[in-house]
Amino acid sequence: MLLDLVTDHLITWMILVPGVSALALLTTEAFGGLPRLAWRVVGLASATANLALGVLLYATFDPTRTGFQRVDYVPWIPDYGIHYYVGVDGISLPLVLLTVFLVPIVLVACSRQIEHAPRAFVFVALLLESYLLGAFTSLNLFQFYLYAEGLLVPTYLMIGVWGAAGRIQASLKLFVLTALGSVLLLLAMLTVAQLGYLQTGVLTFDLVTPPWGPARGLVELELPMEGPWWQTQHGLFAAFALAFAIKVPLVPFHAWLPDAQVEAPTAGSVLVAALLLEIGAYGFLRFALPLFPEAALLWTPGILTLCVVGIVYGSLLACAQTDLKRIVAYTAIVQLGFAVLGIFAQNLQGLNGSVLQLASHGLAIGGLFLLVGMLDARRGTRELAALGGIARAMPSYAFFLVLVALSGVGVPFLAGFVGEFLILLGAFRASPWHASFATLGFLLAALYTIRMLSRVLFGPAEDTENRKLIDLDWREKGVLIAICLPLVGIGLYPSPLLRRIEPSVSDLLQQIEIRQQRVLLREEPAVPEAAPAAEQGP
Amino acid sequence: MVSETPTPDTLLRWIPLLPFAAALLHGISSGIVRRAVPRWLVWGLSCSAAVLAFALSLLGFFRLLARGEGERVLVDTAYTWIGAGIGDSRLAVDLGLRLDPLAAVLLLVVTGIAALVHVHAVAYLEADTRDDRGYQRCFGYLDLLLGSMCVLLLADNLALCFLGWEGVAIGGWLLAGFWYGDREHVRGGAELFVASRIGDVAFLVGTGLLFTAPLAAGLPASLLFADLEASLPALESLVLPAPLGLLGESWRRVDVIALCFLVAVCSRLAQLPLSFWLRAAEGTPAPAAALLLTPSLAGSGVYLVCRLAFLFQAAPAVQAALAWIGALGALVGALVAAAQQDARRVLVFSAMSQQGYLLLALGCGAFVAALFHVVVLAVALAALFLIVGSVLLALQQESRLDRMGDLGRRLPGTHAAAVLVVGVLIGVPGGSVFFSRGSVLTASFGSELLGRDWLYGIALFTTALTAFGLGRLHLLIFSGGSRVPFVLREGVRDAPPLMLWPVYGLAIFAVFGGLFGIPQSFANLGSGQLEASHSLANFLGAALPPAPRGPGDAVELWLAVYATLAAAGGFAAAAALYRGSPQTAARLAEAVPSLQRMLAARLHLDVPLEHLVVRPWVFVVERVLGSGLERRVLGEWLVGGAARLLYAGVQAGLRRLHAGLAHGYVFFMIAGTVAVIGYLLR
Repeated sequence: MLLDLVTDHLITWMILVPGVSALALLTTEAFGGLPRLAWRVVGLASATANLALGVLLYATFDPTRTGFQRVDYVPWIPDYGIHYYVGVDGISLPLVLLTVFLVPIVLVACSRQIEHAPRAFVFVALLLESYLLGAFTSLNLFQFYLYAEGLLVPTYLMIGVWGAAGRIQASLKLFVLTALGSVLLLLAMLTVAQLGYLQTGVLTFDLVTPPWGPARGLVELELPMEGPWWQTQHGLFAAFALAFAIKVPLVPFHAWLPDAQVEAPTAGSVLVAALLLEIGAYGFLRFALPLFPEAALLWTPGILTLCVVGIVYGSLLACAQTDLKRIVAYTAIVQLGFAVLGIFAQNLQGLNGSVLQLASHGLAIGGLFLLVGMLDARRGTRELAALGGIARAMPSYAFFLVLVALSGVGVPFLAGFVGEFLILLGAFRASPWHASFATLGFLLAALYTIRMLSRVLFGPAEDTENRKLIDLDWREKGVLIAICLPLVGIGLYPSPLLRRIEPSVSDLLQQIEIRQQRVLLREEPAVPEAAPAAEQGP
Repeated sequence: MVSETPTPDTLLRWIPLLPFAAALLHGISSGIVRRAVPRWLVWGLSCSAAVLAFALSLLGFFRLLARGEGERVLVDTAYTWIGAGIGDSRLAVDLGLRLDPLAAVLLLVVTGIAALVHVHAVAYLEADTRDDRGYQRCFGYLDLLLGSMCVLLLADNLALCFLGWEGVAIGGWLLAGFWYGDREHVRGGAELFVASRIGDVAFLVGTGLLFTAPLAAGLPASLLFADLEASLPALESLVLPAPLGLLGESWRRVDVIALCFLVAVCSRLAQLPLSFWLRAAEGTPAPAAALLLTPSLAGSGVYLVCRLAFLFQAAPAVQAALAWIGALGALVGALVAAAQQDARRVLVFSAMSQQGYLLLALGCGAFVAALFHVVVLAVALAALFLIVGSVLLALQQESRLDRMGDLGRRLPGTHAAAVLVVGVLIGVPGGSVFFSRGSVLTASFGSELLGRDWLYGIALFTTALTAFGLGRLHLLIFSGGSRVPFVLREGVRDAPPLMLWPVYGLAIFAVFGGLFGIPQSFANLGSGQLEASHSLANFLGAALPPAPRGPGDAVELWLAVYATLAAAGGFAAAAALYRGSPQTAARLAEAVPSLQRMLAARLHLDVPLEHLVVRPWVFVVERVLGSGLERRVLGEWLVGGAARLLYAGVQAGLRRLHAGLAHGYVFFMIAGTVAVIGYLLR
């Protein structure tokens, strides 16, 4: 009976478990409060329970079906078309799994290092998990907006409370850029709903048609291409794209990220880089492309160019940094640039690769930030100049750092390669010249990674501090093993994930293509073969 | 080639799997568990993996032999590695292995050398006490390198091949930086990795441009070598729009692809301008260098060109470039090697020079000759690396040639091997290099490339230079008066048998290996009138394009005579200069000081790199981008400006609206959560 209740509303439970335990812990404060340890245990237990639910979700996910599974639909403010509407498909599944996987890891790895307000830390981490899951599974535009923007609250807290010295300025930067994006997103969203109302007579924010009720999904609308600019697809797409570009972030909207990452505590860096950023890429995939495919067609070359510029620019800057954490922060920009490149290649290889890339990027960057945090906690500095020769004192650390860093470089048999390889193949189909420049990212990745590894791990340990460091203990090793196992696993055998990603992606692609084809036919009736035309490049 | 019927055989997967498993165990043990493992267990595991891989390769080879021509293909598909897309655009990359004669030959060589090198390393690492904490690490790296090489050779598609390709680069990086406490070695390893990455990127671009070619031919997208070859006719008609109208309106796609793979191969064979990583090989432990440099790096490069021979044949301009790069590399390498004072450096640049011949042969379309030469070179150079490694070990890593001399009496075992190997490499008639380099010279003489006379001339001159350089190396080490410092003299001891026997094994193959590739012209010379003498070419059958028509038996024999005379001349010069005392040489060097200095400084090859790449790079990346664009323009002006703008906006009255929104979120979130809970619990 209870089990049925869980399995029938699995997604809802996954959103609720961390959220409710966070709130429950908070309420105990009113009755005298629990000790630190109890908070940690409850927090970890609830995150682990959620991981178990995630495994259940994965196991019961039907890879042969397209469309959304595990749908829950509850009218909330029906007059305005705002509903509680969640479900997963192959695109959100890897992200959901990544979320439930990383949060317990972060709790295990980081909660001991947090000295200031450790209870609040558990609370914020759980809240973040709940919001993230909500954002990745929302099928109602307004609900997504609430979750995605609500996420920023725990993020500000994370950076503002536990951050380093420059945290206030960093969170201000974060606030300025994200606020700009969210205002745009809100306005564009309201416009879309209004246009939908004008076309169908039903006001709704549901992205896809719900299981019951009169509303049709917004993706089925054909939004106009002409008219006042704020009501055309172009204007709306631009607003969505800008909002998500800030979240990803694509260069040149990335200014908030490096500072936020450097100032954030390890846990914050991990969660922001591995999960929060992915909301941007996910937004492109879930909302911007299906809602405005015709406009996307026109904007594609521009966005591809932005991605390639971002990949090269981010890599170059990663080469120029001397703070270990800042290097890793710039690699996040590069990796997500690849993911968006794959999305806008708009073919199966590119999209499949992107979704996989999001998952593997989350693992690798999470691992990297954890490793940087472990070194920082021991050595007290992250400056390359002060480090060097660490491998002698910390061989285990060296082993894990090399392994995780190489995944970011795209070394085969590690998860990073599969996604990047597919993305590149997709990009080569869509636009060979963009793709060729994007491969420069591969070269530059080697440069910054080798530079980082050489400066940190190798060379003579000139500073005596570096000779006295203590190697990883088993708790840390356990955490890193937990990260490395899926990294290697996905690299060796990505098919189980790809098989689940693929039907959704190809379904999405089909919808987009049908509508884009119509535009192409209308505009240029002389060119019926769109695919070979795309073959030839930009 | 495509029509061969493959036979499934699960034997193949064990060949790469065994070394990988050993590498994995070593990695877990030395990287995670960190408990001291008995040494016998370490080397026992690695050596048995390497020897078994060799035995299995041998078994596979005999299974191939047992089949008739045209059926010599074994396949083993484990599972779909990367599969994406449906319908026409479906792309499935299998973990598919495929053993055909081309792969089999190189596989035998690589696993064979690896097995011997592993055995050698057991004793070498015991004796080399520079850092004894790396025993298990070194074996782990060696196994990683070997496993990657096996995957590269056995892969039936480009993606899996790339996996091996990258693995070789990683293995090389780890091995070159093995003594990571030394900044020079770390830097060398980094250079190796970056150079290799340049090749990797080229490889990836080539792959990306290739993989849609089957679509144009009406086949599903694919990365299988067989499919790619089948779609060549369609590929030849494809073009790429030229960026900014450079060099015409559009480029032939096949040219661009071949150019990409050319870059990849150059980085592997240490040819200009991607030879800057050669320093890396100097810091690699001797057994590792023996396996890494020619068998793995050069072997993989030659293999790739042979595997994609159809592409290069369709792009004659690129092929010609291949030949010229090779010839220049051979010349430059030999020149530089002739003037170095460091034994390791002589060795490394000699290897570069020899590998230049490989590209020359490939460029002339003589794929079989290139394969033959790489097999021979891999063995001979590996032996030479081990020999020099033993010498340096006896001298406690003193590598300056002017502190050696007269070691022949002190190291008789090593000396005997050195005589054999150096003799073979110089090109003593009957040795394997005599035949293999002979076929390269013949191919360059008979080719129809632009400036083929020059190509042949350079190649012939380099033969003399090589004989001079290697003769010099040998004489300075083993003969003349002893210049070994007193502190080291006591410790000079010959290598233990465990180190010597693998070297003898390699040396013996280097002497007799040529028998597998005796050119037809020599066979016709004998009374037997052998029907088919070139057993390597016959075994390869249709796996490689047939050799271009030679210039005729008589001419070929004359070419062999010229080559022998050139080599003899080079060696005689070395003997005249260095046999007695090195004073003659010093006087000669004084006579032309600028040349001597230029050669000793490696022809200043690093200078353009430093001035054209490294310095501008540092300036652009750190100044222009790092502190200028990123911090000043983006950070302060744009974001700072936006902040000010927003602040002004808030002041102007937006405050209420925005604050309302922000409160709204929180309210909605909490209210929504409560509502949902209420619904679920009703």
